[in-house]
Amino acid sequence: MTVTAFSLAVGLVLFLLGALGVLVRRNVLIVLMCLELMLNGANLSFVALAQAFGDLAGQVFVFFILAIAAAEAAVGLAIVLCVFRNYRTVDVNEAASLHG
Amino acid sequence: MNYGELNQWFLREQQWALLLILAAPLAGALFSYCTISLGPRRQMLAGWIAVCAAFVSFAVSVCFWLFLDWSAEGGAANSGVFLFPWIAAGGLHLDAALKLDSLSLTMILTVTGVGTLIHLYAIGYMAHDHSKPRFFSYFNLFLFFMLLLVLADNLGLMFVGWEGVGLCSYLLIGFWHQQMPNARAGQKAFVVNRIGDAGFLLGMFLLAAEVGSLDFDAVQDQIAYLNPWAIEAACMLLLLGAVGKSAQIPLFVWLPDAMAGPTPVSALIHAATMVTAGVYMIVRLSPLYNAAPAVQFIILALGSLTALLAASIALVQYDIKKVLAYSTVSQLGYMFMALGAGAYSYAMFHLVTHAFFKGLLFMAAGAVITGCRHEQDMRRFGGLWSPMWGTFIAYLAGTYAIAGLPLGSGAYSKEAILWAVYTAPDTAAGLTLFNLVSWGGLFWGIGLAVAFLTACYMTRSLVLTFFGSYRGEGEASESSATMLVAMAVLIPPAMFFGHSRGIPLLESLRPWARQDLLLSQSELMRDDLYRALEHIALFAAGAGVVLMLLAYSIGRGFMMRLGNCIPERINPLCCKWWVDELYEYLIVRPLAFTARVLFFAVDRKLIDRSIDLSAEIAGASGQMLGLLHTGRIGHYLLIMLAGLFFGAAFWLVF
Repeated sequence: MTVTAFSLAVGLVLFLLGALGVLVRRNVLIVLMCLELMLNGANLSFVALAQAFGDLAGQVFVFFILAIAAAEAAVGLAIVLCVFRNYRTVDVNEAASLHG
Repeated sequence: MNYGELNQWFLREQQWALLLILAAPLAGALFSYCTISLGPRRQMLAGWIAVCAAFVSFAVSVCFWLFLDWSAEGGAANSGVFLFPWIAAGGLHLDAALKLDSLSLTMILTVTGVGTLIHLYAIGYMAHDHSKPRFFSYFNLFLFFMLLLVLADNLGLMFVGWEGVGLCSYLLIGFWHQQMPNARAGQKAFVVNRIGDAGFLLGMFLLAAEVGSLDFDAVQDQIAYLNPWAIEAACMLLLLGAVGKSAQIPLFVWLPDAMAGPTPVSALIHAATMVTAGVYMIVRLSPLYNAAPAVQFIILALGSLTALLAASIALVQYDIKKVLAYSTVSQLGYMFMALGAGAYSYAMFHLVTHAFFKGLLFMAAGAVITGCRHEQDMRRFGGLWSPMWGTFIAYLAGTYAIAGLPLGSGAYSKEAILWAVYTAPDTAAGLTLFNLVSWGGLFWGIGLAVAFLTACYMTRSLVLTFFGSYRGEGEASESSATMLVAMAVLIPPAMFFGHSRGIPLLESLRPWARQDLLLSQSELMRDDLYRALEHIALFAAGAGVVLMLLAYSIGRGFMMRLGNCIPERINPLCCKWWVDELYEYLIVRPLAFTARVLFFAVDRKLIDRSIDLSAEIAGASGQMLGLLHTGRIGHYLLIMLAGLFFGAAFWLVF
């Protein structure tokens, strides 16, 4: 198993773990952390393939994603704060007032 | 400023004067309504504002009569004013423009003159009413629309006035709308008039399509180039409008019910002015009608039938206003006979004299009604000549004039019409009835019978109201001064107009006369046929008066037995020839039934249901789709990821 294939496999596992966490966890903070996990899975795939193809574009992409993830975390935490103020909880299933 | 300078000044400013005739009543309507903000006692101001407005119009009309040269040949418009271009649609151009010639002058003098007096009368009549501002505002607005109708120089603008007077008539018939019958009478008048107006509109459309213009002058110029069929059709449709407005068969049923309004309204609108609008319209379009002999024959037949029918019904009515209402229908029938005979100037002559004496009769009837505490049944009157001798004199003068007794104004106009009908050219292609009597002779006979009946029913109402002994309760009292003054002023014209001013009037209306009509006094007196017919008519009228006087003095018992021998339920006269019932079963009931069927079957079941159904479908589908909206982020993400997965799989496989 080459380094590239191993890295891609780890990236996929990270992504799927993150997605599973987003879907099943109820604490918003954990959900946000799982979201980061998904992003990092994608990042790992980017750098692995960039290294394999000798293309810098993939690595540049990772920097963008890191920057945007930081911004997203800031906005996301602010939203979590608002959700908590309104619902006195951070359980995503409790904040379900938009149901039909 | 001497007379000559005044004359010059008026001629220079005549366009403004013509506008003032229209503007005064309109302003009066606005200002008299504004008095609604004053206290109840000061609302009487509304009446005086209205009277002043009407009088301004009358004074300016008199100035036009005095200062303009009315001897001009050809009946060309003597004065006119262009206001603004009104409708420009395709090839059709309508201007808001006024036109004053001897025909419209005759009309505005009558309308504003009688109108001013009746406004004055209304001040007394409405003295104890609580909505004086509303009444006088409507009254003045009516005057405005009537003058607009008369002064319009095209059919379109005339139609505006035509509808306006219809509206005011509706508002004033139902003036005391708190009582259901009054409101219903107003609706009946409005709806029946709409039927006629539909004919007016269609006739107008036809003329617009054929002539390309609705100006009276343009229509007149184009007659020679028009399809004869189109002329007959347009005349027939416009006749329907005239029949509705002027209460002729088959649309006369609204006028007797219109008596539900206050008596000044009956006097001004439903006797003197508005109901003659149909006659005026046909005179205005007389060149067109002259080219439609079949329609002329129909007018003659309709007019004479209406006159006879209404006069026969008037004979047995006990409500004093109903007698006068049917009398109005009957006299309008005379005017239509004159129109059918082509004697347009005679129709106008009778229109003017009728406005005087019928206005007077209605005012006197109103004075009797208020004097007897709003009693209208003649069986509860009697002997009123002594407590209200002023009203008695007015009613006597009116009766004298309308009955056609010698020297009364009604005699002149009625005999002129009878003569014109007798000498009418056999319009229906020279047909004679069973080769025995010409159509003209037949219709003359009907006219003569109507003259006899007129004398009968008017004498009957006079005797029942003013002679004998008082049969009502309480004390009858004379009316207020304004009412008596208004009646007193109208007595001389009602009595003597035919004698003193009738001939000049006919002279000035010469352009609207049949070529062979006699116009001057000497012509009339020299004609043997005219004098023979005149004597026959006078004899018929005198016979009617004497017969009724005898019947109600020495023949009382006989009259009672005569009345009892046919029960009222099956007496055609008491049942008004079942015309109302006929319309009820033939038109109103089927229409109401159809409306109910359409309401329940089509409106409720089809239209309402289909709209409800679409709303229900939208609601149900919303409910269904709402189930997808759990509000849980996990579910949304799952669906999103599933979509992503299947999308990616789809993309990879294909």
